[in-house]
Amino acid sequence: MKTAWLTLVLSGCLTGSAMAQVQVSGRVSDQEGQALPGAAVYVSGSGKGTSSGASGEYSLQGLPADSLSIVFSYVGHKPQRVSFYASRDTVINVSLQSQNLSGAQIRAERQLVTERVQTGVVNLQMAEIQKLPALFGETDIMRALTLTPGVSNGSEGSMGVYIRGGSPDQNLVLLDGIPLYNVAHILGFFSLFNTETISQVEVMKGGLPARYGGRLAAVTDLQVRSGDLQKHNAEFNIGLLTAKGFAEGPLKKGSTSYLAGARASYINLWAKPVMKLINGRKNLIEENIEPGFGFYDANLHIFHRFSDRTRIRFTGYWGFDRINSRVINPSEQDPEETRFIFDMSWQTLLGSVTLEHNLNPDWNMTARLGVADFDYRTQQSFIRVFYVDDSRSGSVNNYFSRIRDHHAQLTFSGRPHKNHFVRAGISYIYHRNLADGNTFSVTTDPPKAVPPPGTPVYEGHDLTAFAEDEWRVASFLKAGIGVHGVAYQVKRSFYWDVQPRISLAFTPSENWAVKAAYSHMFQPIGMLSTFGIGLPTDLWVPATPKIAPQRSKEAVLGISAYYPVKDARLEFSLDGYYRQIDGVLEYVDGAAFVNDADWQDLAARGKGRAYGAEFMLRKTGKVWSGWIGYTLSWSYRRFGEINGGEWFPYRYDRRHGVNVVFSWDIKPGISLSASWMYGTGNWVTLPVTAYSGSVSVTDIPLLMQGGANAEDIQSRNNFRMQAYHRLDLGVSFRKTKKWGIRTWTIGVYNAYSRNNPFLYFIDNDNGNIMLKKLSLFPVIPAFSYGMKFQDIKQKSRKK
Amino acid sequence: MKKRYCLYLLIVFFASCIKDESDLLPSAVQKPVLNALVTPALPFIAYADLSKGILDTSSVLPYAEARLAIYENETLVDSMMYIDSLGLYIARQFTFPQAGKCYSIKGSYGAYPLLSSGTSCVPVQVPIQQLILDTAFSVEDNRDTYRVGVQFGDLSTPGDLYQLSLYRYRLNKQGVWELSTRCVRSAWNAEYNDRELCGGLYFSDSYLSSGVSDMIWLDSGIRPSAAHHHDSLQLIVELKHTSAEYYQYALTYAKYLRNKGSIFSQPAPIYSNISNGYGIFGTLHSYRDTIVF
Repeated sequence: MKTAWLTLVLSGCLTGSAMAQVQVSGRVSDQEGQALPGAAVYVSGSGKGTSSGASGEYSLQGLPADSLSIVFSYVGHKPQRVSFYASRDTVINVSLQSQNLSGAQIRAERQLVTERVQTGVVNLQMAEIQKLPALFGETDIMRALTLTPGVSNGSEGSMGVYIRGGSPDQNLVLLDGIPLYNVAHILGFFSLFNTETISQVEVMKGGLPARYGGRLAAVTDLQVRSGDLQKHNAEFNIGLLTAKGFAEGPLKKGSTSYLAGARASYINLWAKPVMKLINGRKNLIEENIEPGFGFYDANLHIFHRFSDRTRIRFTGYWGFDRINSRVINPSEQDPEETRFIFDMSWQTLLGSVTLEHNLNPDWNMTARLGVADFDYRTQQSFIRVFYVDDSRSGSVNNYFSRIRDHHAQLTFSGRPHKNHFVRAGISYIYHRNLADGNTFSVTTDPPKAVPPPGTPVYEGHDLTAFAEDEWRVASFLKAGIGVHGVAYQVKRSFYWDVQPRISLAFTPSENWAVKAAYSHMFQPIGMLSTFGIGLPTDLWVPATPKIAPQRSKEAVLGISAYYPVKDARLEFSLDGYYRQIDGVLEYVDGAAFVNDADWQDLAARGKGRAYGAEFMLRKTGKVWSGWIGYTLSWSYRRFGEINGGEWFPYRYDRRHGVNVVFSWDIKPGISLSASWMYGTGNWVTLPVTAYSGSVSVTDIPLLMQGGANAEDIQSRNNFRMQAYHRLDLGVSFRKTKKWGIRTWTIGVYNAYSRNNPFLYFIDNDNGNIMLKKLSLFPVIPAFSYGMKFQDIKQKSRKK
Repeated sequence: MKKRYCLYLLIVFFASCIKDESDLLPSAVQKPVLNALVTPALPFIAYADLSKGILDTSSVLPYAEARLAIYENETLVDSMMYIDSLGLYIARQFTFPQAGKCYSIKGSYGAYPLLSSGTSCVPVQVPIQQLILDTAFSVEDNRDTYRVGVQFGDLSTPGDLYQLSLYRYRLNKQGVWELSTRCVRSAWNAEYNDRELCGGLYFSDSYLSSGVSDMIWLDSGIRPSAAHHHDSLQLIVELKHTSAEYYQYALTYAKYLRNKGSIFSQPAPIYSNISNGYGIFGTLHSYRDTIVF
């Protein structure tokens, strides 16, 4: 066997060295010169290909000195084929024309899975995401990602994304290069991102290259789309619960463009009648609950081209959520009524300015300044209103978490040699963390938020530098070698880390590759989760002198293959991973959500390990596309202070996960989609045994036996919930009208109305003790109506 | 109250999606239970019963057939006899625990595996040196408040553990003192706040730096109705000098009671030092002072 492999390797070497080889490189942009990152570049008939980088640059190496036909394609743009005789290394800069969005499905050739040195990369095109079934009439980027192997949403109502057994805080989510701390609206029902404003989303699930840092598990990289430099377009969409719109166009034709989008929910219009319906039917409560839900967001992107070599872009984002409710209990006997008021809100702000400059044909520079802010607040108020004098008295639990980052980044990328593509950069982040909870008394209703005195502020200075080289060692071997260094200072504590990042791609044939990666990661900011479902109530906390940063080591091994068939391509990937974490955070046993204690006294640092395998078979075609994915995984945690110091399964230790996604263009203008997902149930902690405990809260403790008033949970996460599975269906009808494109979208969420578990609780119903399961969403039909207007000024002139 | 409202709201919002899934819960293994919190003020006593499944609605199962014995450093001190239908056992020779000595309990519960406790040493009594009461209600943060200052005796042994409890009794119209509250909230140094639970303040004297042994107890609550303003109050302040076993048990049990039913709290397992069973064997030495005003 060894001899056979050696022969294979040697024959590859000899074959590679015997042929004259050339390199073709260059840049892919749109007709206005804006870089098109992620554009597919492949050599027709050979299967060789790559994708363009962040500045649109690409490079194809080891091509035969022969007649070549290279195809460039990018979503929303007309593919372009360039044929020539390559006798030497050649530079080809391509400008792709924007395709008229006339309702025809726009297709992009997907980057070839074997060419990329990284493994475990999921790259979804917006056109693909928009075809997936919509929840409440709206397609969603983060929900689409959870349909891929190794990525899960945890549970319904969860705001976090869980990748390969990691917690949501271990995923780096970048919007135009700036990390975000929250990615969801309204308990995960909607993601933070308006799909129309995003050009590309890519998830790296492990083996991260050196340019990424600050998180342990994965990277989700979202690029905001630049506005059209030639014509004005607009789109509006109205769904059951939300309305959204965006507009784009030139501010100065050919050089400056804008793109603005906004969304607003009107869930409140539905919430109260639905609540009354439920209350009336179930006779659970009278009319004294006033619920409130809502979210809003807005995007703005400005692009300006100074010259062919220099561009600048501004990205702005604002998102706001609020969930509140008020329960009033009037009393006829007592001279008072009680009011319970729950008010939770969170807000995300982001702004960045990016300057891109081509220093010369081989080197690019990107400089970025940015700020990101996440502000979360909860108030639980319990107020008594005295009828005698209408005075108020009560107390409020106030709980808040705020984190603000200021970023400065400088990156260089280029090709010093035909076999090397190098990136190097430096960045600085100033973190400002504020996290605390307090209790205070109030005399007003609604209670006024009182800024808690003496809230500790943690100011962290996070300086990183990286260098990485994508090195074509031989025609069959590519290596990504890099190092990421970080120095983090908070108060008087200083932490540092040097992280090697190594990736190897062995390509014995053009159709398949074996890839491996090893990485060290470092995370100075983590999350303490109260409920374990990624609620905004989770507290973002910095490393401090008492709480050291988290570190991890990860090894990944994978096989990628593709097989071109007529008008379509089949891709296959199989990845295995093992990750070891040191310093993972968890609340200690008995910690309560609202507590006056310093969070550092309630946090336990421990170890984690996660391992598993993922399989994916994907077809991308003109008529139908889709994939089948399977995940087998394990994830465990261990803390000295919890579970007697023994290992226990992480809440999202999901043993099996299956995803089937399918979209079919029945005929022009009509497309059908379906997705089905299955996941082993999550772990929760439930008491299983009751016994008598001694009562120690009276003044005669020794002579009292408390009855069966103590419970034993045996171990942390001792009960696995029922499995989660769900089928979503969607169909969309598009029609070109005089004014633009009209789209009707009809979708069914949870088509067979599976009661998926959200939480379990022990309920004592008139002495009958039961284990009850709470599910959130039964079958939910949804529809939306969209209007897309293109080249608005041109049309008005014609009129 | 508040934590239950959170769950209550959640249930009301999604009431149509609640199902009984009791069949899914794994059956619990029945184990013997032994609870014995002993003090030099009383002979050794213990409670014996059996655990049950969490969904079992039957009452506690007192166990009358247990054979329990008290040991001091593996030497038998006394055996225990069953005296009460509630599962109460008492030392057959009315042996009293003695301060400074270390004890354990062993027992057999019929066919169940032999049960044994860890060792617990009886602490010495630490007196409250002085109580200083400001009987005038003052209004602080809109709460009717009165102050109780507690001055301890010698707390000079580093690492010793204490529970300080305040029991407030109100004289009712029939002239009987009734316990008006079990969980007295008090304001204290924020460093100890997580130790302030039902049952009082749990603390180690290692927290009391530089020999400071006074604390001011700010007893307050949501404003009582006007009719209660002129009631007589009786305050009992109790300082329990506790063994590590009792301290761990009392603290974890209080947290368990606080977090029970809350979806926003971490599970709070109750400390136990009983092998092959549930429960606690712990020792303490308490000192009480009473003020009536």
